[in-house]
Amino acid sequence: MADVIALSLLNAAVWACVIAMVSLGLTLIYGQLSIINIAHGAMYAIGAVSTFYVTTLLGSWAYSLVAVPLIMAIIAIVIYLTTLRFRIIGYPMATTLIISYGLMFILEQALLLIFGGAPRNIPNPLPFQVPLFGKTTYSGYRIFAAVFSLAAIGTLVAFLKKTKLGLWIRATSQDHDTASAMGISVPSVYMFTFVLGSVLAAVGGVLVAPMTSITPNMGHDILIDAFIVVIVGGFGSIPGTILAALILSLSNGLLSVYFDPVLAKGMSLGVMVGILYWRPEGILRY
Amino acid sequence: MKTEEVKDSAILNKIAVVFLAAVVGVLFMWGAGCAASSKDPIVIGGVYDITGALSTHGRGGLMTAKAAIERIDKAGGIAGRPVKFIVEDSATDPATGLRKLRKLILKDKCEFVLIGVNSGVAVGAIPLAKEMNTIIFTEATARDITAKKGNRYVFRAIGDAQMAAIAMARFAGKELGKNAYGMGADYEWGHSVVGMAEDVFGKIGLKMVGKAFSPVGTLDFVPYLSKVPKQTDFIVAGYFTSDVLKLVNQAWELGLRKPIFVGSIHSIRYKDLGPGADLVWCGTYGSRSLSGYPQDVRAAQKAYRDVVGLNDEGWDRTGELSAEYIWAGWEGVSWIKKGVEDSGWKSRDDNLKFMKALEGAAVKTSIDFPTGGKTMRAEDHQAMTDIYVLKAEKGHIVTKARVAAADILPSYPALVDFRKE
Repeated sequence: MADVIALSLLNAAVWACVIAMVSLGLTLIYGQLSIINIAHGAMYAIGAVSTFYVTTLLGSWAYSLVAVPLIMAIIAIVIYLTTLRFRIIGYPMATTLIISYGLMFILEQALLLIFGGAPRNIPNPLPFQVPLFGKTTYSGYRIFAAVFSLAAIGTLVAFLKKTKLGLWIRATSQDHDTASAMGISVPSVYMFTFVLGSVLAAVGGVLVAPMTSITPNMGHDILIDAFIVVIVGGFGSIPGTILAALILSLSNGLLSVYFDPVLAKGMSLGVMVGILYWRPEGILRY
Repeated sequence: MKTEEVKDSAILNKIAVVFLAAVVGVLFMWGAGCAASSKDPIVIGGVYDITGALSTHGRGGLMTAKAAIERIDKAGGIAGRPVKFIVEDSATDPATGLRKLRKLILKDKCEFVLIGVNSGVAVGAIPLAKEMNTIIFTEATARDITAKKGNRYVFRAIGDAQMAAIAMARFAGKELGKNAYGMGADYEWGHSVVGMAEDVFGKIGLKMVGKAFSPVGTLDFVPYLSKVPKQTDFIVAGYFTSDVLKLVNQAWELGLRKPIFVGSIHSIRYKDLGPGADLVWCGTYGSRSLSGYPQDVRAAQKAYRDVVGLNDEGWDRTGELSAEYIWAGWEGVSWIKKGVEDSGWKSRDDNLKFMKALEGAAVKTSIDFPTGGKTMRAEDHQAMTDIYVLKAEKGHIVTKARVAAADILPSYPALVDFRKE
């Protein structure tokens, strides 16, 4: 039993890191732009699909870590310039919600058209197993994915706290009028934040692509968890998002040892509901 | 003439005129009805998962159904009547599928409906078929479709999960071991695969040491795989497409080196199965490769593949759809044609005649039935098809064996008799 618990917790921790990174993109976009980005899952799927093509064309998954963020950045800039920038400041949140919902459909159908409906796999780029106990092993790649996610989160936090652009982002989210009066180009900051959030989702797709099969609608798998994490963590709160991701994944992992995994998932969502009941604004208020 | 005689004569004349008009009217309408039946197209509807998790299955079945209808229409139609095919996307969602089914029958006036592989849609469609007096042919393979959940309006052109389990059991016992662990997608078909396997295994001395069900599209199978008991010899997996890929790859990463007998290997390439590929088996309803079919079937199978655009290795022109399953759309249309022509069916009023014509009907190998001769079992409207055991082996998906329908039949009695309805 101890080995099953250890395996479940390790696996849960890995997914916590990946979900946290993807969710941070969502919370960043909301925190700075007040956009609830329903299309975030589609961006994650774009990341995974782009990874498939980059890996197939260039022969190595590693190139995806550079190429896919660039691809996603370009796509995000186009999306921002053609849709979102006209409907942010002064518009009801419902408007951006509807826009992002429509974007989700457009992006998913575009992926279906380009990639097709058949699921594809890419080879594990780090095909080594870490021995755990007995004959049970754990994927070395998954551990790498978790470490990379943590590094990305750390880099994001450092960027926001230590760089001028990070300062501008924080200032703009606090008071965009004052920020503008101080000479900050608020529209540029908004665009940069949207691109950054989208790139985080796409990087999540890059990391997950070797762990699962790639399909155009795979964004649905992670979108709900990302929203739960963002809401429970506190909209716009980076530490809250990380903490919520840990609570969701670890509770799910531990409960799945003793209960059917489907029931465990439901129970872990019950935990999240309990947290919201205790702190409706989220664990760590923004 | 006296006044009363004149009046009587006028009344009689009026009665005669009215009577003659009525006779002419009836004759006209009867003639018009006959003329309308012989020229109006037969409208066949199709509910397929064109998008969503089952899209490769749905698009495959649709591709062959459409090709069959086009071929039949070019050759003069069904009983001399042209065929119109109207398709709706069920988007791998039963609620959507049933809504589209209603639309096809009520708005588009479809007289027959082909339902794709989605067992959730098929099971929901069964009572609707009876309610709306419309015969349906389905490719879905959940057992209960031609058992306790079925009715006389439902026909199935392809084998089902129990037939596949019977075929699987013959190999499992000899080649894989005695202890199986069942895993499946948590819906009608997934439960059917595992349930039928457990039922069949129990009769031949194999044992299901445990089972688990996960939602369709589960991202991470590690929580499920971590609970596979150590004494398990092989895993029976009721999953399809992307879930199969995830399961096989994640099992390998977890150090599980047990054979996995999957419910469907449709559109899955060997290389996508990863390092654990050679552990994968599948009991399915056709051979992927042309060479996997028996010699006496190959000519018909080749002719069919040429029409629909499948190559000898079993891939369509896009390289996305594989052959082993999708013939059910083609043969579903062939069964409709046979039923209409053998029974003299003209409209829904003749549905009972259609049913009786197909109940117990036997067909021979031909381009209409390219997977071989078969019988539509009278009691439960189940086409008795051969089952093929495929295996991923050294870079290919190979056909290891064919289990003939006749060999499956003794272990596969009809559980219902729809003729009593």
